[in-house]
Amino acid sequence: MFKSLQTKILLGFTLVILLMGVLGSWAVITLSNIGKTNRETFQHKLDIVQELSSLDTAIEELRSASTHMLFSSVDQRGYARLDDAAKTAASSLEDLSQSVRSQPDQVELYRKVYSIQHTATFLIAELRAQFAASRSADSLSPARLSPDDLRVSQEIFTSEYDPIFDSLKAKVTVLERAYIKDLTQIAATGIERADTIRTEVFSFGIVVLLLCIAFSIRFANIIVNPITELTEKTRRISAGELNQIVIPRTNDEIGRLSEQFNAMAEKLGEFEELNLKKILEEKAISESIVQSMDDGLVLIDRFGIVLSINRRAQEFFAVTNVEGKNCLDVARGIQAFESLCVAALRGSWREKDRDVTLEHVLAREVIYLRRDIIPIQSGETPGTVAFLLIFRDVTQQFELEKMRSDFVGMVSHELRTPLTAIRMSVDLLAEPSLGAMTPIQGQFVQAIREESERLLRIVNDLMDLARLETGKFEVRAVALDVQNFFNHLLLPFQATARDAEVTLEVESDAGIKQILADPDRLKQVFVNLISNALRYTSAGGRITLGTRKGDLQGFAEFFVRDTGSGIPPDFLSKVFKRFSIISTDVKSGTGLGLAIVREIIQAHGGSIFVKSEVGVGTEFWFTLPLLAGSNGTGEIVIGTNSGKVSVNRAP
Amino acid sequence: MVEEPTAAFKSVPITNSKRRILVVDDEKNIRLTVQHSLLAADYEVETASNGMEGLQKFRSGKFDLILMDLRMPQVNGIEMLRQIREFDQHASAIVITAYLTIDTLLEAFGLGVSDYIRKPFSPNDVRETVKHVLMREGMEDSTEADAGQSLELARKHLADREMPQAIESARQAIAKDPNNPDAHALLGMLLHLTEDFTAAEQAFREAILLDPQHQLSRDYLFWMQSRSRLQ
Repeated sequence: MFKSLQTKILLGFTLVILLMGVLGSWAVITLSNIGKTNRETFQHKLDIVQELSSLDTAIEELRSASTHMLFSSVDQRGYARLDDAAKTAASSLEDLSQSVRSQPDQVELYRKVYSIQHTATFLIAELRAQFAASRSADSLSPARLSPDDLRVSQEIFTSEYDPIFDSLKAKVTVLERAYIKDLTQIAATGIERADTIRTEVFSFGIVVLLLCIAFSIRFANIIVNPITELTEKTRRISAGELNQIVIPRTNDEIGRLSEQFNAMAEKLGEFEELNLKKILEEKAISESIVQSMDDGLVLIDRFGIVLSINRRAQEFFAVTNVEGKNCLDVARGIQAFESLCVAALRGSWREKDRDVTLEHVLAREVIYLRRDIIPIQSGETPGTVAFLLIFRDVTQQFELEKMRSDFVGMVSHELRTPLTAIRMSVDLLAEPSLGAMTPIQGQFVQAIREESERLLRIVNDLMDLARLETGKFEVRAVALDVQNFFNHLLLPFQATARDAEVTLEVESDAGIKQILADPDRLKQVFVNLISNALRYTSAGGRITLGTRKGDLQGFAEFFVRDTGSGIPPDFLSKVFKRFSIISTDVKSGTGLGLAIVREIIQAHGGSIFVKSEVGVGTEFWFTLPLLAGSNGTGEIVIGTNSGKVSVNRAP
Repeated sequence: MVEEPTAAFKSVPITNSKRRILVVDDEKNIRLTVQHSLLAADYEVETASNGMEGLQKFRSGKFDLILMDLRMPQVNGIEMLRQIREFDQHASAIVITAYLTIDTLLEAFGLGVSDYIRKPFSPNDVRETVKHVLMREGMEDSTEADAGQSLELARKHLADREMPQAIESARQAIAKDPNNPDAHALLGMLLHLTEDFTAAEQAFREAILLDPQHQLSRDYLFWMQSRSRLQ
């Protein structure tokens, strides 16, 4: 197996190069072989032709030399020339026979050449003999030859030797022509062969080229296919299909990549599963929280279809399997449920409706419900997509409240009865019909009367506070003339202030003329605050009360300021709590006054504040709504701590 | 309810010499002090310490008036009234109460009580109330009656459970003196007893407007408010 992609690529290229090399080598070898064979044959035949040609020339020279000797002059130069020609011819013959002999297949040729050689040798020998005789006779002068002899010799030569020469020459020429024809043929064959080889090399080249292309494609596929598969699977994973497996087909880098890919996909799958598990777990947790909640919960969509309902709500309304149904159908006849559905769908739910306690009959038992609607917005869709209807069983609270109210009533009754008896007794004691008392007796009777009255005040304050704190308290606010109010307010205090040598004065902002308040309650507020001030201000002190423009738009600010002993800082935060009395001296009040004051101010929609410095004095101030305007006779509605109350204008 | 003496009483002959009054209360000291307050005003007073005893005494002796606590163990004031009405439709009764629960009070008025006294009270409160109740007994319907007389007449009719006449008299009282909160409150009470709740509430609101501290009206409206919170 190929270990790596690199090796694969290298091998691929090597194979292609190898193929090309084989092709080239084959072409070169074939061509060179062709050339070699042809050249040898050709050379050989050419040699023979050349040799034949030189033989022809040599024969012609021999005849020429012989003719010259016979018909011109016999001399030394003639001899030499003849000798040379003979030698040349012999040498040519020798060469020719050598060449022919090395060609074993050329038997015919050899025979022809041999015949030529034989004839030529014979001729040369004859000629040598002829001229050797004359040479020996007179070595250097042909003139010594008799003219007859010469003539005979000439005749013999012409008749006998000339035909031999002609025949020899013809033989050589025939042979030469045959060889030239051979040569021509060899050349033609060579060209033809070269053509064939070119075609073959070309075809082979094309085959190799095609092979290379095919191989490259195959090779590319081998490399690219797994990558394409990986790409596709990766795309699917990113699309959320996590169960992707790539089968590793090779052992190279891509094979390893595939293994890693599988590992990754598996990990992703596990992670996803873990995540899903977590989400499911969380869902289960919140589901069980919702189910186990003590409040009844019903989730409806904006068309009123019940999406979810918890166990408690099912118990409240004795309904089951209501998911997917319209809440108006489900709640039909169940007033507490139906009206809330309607309120949610109509959007008519108001904040104050939360405070309404509703009686609901559950299995012949009356329970009390408070309800709320929480609109649910979605990040994607504008507007409300669903409503959560909440039903809270406040029966226990309600009963506690009732108990508390009953308790207050009972305590009040139980305290008032003995107080009444005391008061009656004291009054009767003081009546002249029973006879006169001594002055000291009178003082004691007075003490009993005062203390019983104080006790009664406490009882009344407790009653007031109990009512105020449960919010069962109605503010009957009217348009109130501030100046007039202060005038009437101060009268009962003037004597007390004079006795205590405390200056009591009003410092009113002229801009504040009318406010919206319950005169009776407001009087209670001031009485409590002024009583407190008097209690803690020593002789020579000063108590200032009045109005000023506050920071809050639409509200007037009232204040009561004294130069009294002040409230210690750590006590300042507790002054509005019940039974918060700094000292327990005889002058102490009920300890409920400021708590009542705060409840009354809050019921008016105002707030009360205090600041104090020990030894310097104390200031209480509070806000009340200014009379902004009304329709004269109609009702003015102001907000209080117990929702909204209707307010009548004083005639 | 304690009221200022009005001009109405001047023309009515006072015939209270030795009128017999029965005081029923489980509280010994209340009994004692109420008895002595009335004795000092020259009434003949007998007492009973519980409802049963009170009923027995009331049956056996002839009493002009019975004063009873609403809250008593066993037989309470309402129960006593109910039983008294079985044999005496016209006996005058005054109830004593500490913590005014409007529903009890309305029930009492439905049974024909003449008035109520609220704890804590003084000897004078007791005497004044008793005096007014006894005075109105002899009153007759009259077109010439002034505002105060009309009001007393309305109370008398209420005690006799003659609602249409009572309402008529109350309206006359209001027509003659529209600024008396007590008249409006009484009309409210009458309207409530005839189950005209909307008009009743309106009448009590009129009373509150005239006197923001009007206790009965405050209590009534507070009670109505807490009732309506449940609906």
